[in-house]
Amino acid sequence: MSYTTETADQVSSIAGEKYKYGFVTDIEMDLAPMGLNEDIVRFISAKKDEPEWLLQWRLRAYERWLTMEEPKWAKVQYPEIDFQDAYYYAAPKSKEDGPKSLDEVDPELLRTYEKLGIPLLEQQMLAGVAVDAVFDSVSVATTFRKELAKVGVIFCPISEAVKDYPELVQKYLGSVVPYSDNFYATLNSAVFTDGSFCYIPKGVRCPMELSTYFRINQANSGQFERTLIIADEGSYVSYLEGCTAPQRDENQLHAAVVELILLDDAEIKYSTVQNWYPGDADGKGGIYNFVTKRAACRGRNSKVSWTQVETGSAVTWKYPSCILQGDNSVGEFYSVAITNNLQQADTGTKMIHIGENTSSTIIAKGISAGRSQSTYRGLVRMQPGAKGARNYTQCDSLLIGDKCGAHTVPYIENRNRTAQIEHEATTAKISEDQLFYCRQRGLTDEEALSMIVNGFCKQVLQELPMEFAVEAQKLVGISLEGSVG
Amino acid sequence: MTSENYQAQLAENVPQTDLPWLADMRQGAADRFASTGLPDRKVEAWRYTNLKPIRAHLFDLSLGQSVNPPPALLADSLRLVFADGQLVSCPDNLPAGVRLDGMARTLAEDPGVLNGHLHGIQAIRDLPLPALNNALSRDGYVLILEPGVKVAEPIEILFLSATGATYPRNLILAGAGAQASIVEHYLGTDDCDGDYLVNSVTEVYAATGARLKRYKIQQDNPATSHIATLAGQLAADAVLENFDLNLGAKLARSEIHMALQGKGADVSLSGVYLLRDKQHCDNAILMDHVVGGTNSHQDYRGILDDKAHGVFQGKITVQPDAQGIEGHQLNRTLLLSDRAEMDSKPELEIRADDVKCSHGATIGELDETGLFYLRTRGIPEAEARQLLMTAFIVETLGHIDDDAIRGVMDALVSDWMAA
Repeated sequence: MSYTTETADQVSSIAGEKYKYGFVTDIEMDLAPMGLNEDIVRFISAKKDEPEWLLQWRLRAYERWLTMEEPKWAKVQYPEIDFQDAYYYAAPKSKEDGPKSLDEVDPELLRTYEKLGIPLLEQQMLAGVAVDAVFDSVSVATTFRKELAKVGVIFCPISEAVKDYPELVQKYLGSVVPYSDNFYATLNSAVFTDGSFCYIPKGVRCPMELSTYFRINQANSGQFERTLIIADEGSYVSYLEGCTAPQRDENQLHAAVVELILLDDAEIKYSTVQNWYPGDADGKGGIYNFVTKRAACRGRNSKVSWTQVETGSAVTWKYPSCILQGDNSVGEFYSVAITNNLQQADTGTKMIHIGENTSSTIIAKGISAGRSQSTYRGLVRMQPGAKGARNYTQCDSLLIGDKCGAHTVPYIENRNRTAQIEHEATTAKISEDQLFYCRQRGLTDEEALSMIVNGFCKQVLQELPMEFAVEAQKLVGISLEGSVG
Repeated sequence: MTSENYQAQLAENVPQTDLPWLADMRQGAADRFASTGLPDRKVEAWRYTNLKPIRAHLFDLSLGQSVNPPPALLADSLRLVFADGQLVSCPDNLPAGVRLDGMARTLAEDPGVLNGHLHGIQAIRDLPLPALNNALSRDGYVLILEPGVKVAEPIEILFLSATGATYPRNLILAGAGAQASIVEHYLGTDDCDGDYLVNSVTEVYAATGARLKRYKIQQDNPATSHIATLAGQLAADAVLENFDLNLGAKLARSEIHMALQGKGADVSLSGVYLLRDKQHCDNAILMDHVVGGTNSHQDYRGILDDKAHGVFQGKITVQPDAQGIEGHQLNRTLLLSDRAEMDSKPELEIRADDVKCSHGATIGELDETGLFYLRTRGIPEAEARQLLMTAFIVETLGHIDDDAIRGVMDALVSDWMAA
């Protein structure tokens, strides 16, 4: 069990409530004035040199957002967010024409990535992973673009895609998550600054795993990513998303939108490891993570798989969903959500079965420790046309300590006789017998806990691509630090 | 209807009383209802049920009709009969230590036994429909069991309805160690296809070690609305078994709030809903484990045909520090038709760690291979389907351990299947 020793090392290295990635990079920022109004929306659009249609779209979103109320139904509590007390545009200053290669990238930035464990150059050579690194709001370095271009895969910042592939962006942007979708997605539509764009052409199997690293840096700058991935007929892509954030005392808002579009026979595997700063043991600080992720399986036989390991953030509000429209399309959701101290997570998925013989699988594992609250909230809906559709849902909660909470709120709606839905959920505490057995074999409390919890999550962790699986296993141990013994 | 309209209607219809506590209670309830009105579907608890059909009938308060009640379901039962909400017959010879009477008469003759208990369960006090019931109720039954009393005969309460809106208000007070079985039967009169409303509330207080079995049979007329709220408080080692058979009404809602307040308390809720045409039935359950060492079980199964719409919302709550809990919940539904719809929301809210809680939900159609097998054995299709349907709900019916009552339920179920 080498990883358990590693976990123990990791745990001791972050003792003293220090968040490993809690540092602040000192780079000159190009800021929009604080606050949010129509001018800020125009400012962002102008900064990005956007076409008129996108500006109008943003403005429509902003108009709508003004009429909306923050959702209150989730089992999360946090102080009222003052949306005027934040910067909506923060871009690292770069040379007039932008960097042509990594050499031209601000060395300060590159050092930040190194501290984060994202050595771009090394990754290019060793891992074979193309990285579109997002530093605050603007993508500053994109690698492997040429190699991807050889097979026709477009992978670039969405701000570039707007300029270079306007017809694709205009066709699909907001087609899965409309600008009027929900409070946070609407806000995102108005003020999103950047994100990733990916198009996999017909019949292409993307030769490498695509990944992007998000990072929140500027104090008080909400980050609004917009990701759009289009998998054309018969294509395949695996997309990895990982996040870390520097330690800050003021709460930071993150309201991203991810849209996936799948045409006939396409497949997207979307994996996330989220370990943003969760706040300290007293619940001070930490990220508010209010994300809208949705995949539209428009084509026949298409397949989307969401895998997420959520260990960070003070408050998480996230429901990666699948709209299974094409006949025989498949949706999967594998989730591990770990909350400790005063973290709160309200997460789950929505499976909307529209087409015939669509099927979905939901495996959700929630682990609550400390005084945290973890909620699984999910919807499975069989529309009248979902003939022969199937769903299987399993959501299990594990409680560590007597001050935490674990909640399960599934909505199951069936309007088709031939559709079958099976749902099961359990909640229990970590077994004393298992802990005793591990300790009796010489493992420490922390090692035993990490091992048992990893076992509990295995069904989900094994769905992750290899690189992420290793990181995720370590994270499981780190996140639960101090919750036993 | 606006708040002022409700105020005016309520002022006209809240029954008068000389008892200050009762007058205050009714007025308080009327004010609460007037301030909220009927919940709409934006209220989470009413997400799947639209109350519009009952709006027009809320203040359609009728006087009891003279009807001939059908024979009792159970032989040798202690039987009360209500017609359109008012008591028409009551047993004479009650066993020692048992008070079984109408609510109106008890309020007139011995109101002290009700004070503090009537509308006393906090969990439902502020809910609109129980509040409306409290404001407008004219009658209902009262069952008070002295400590240690074990009632051998089943208690059968018939609510016969033909017209208008009725608000039965029922109260069960079981002393320490007392035992009884109660059947609440809601029935529409044969010669009536009218559209009436029943909005009943039953409050149950089970003292230490009391054991109660309650069975509710809902056979209201097909055009009607039936809203029922059951609220229970259980002290240490008290046991409550409740079974709901939902057959009638166009719009039915059975809402149950249980508070397990003493160590060793045990609640088992089960139910069968059989729906066809455009029937709508919503079972909403809140199981609140207030203290540790308490157990609960829920098992609800249903069969939906035609354009029927079934709803199950079951929630288990474990309060902070309520350790040593077992709570289980199961909801299974068969869809027989392409136009039927089932919405299920089994919910867990756990704030203590030494718990074993689970829920399961399935929705699907009749097993085609099972059907095929039976037909290869020479069983005609209709009969084979009935066999499979019976098999589907027989486990839930199995929670009824009283043979006579089980016999009644079985007969009603097979009548439904044969229809």
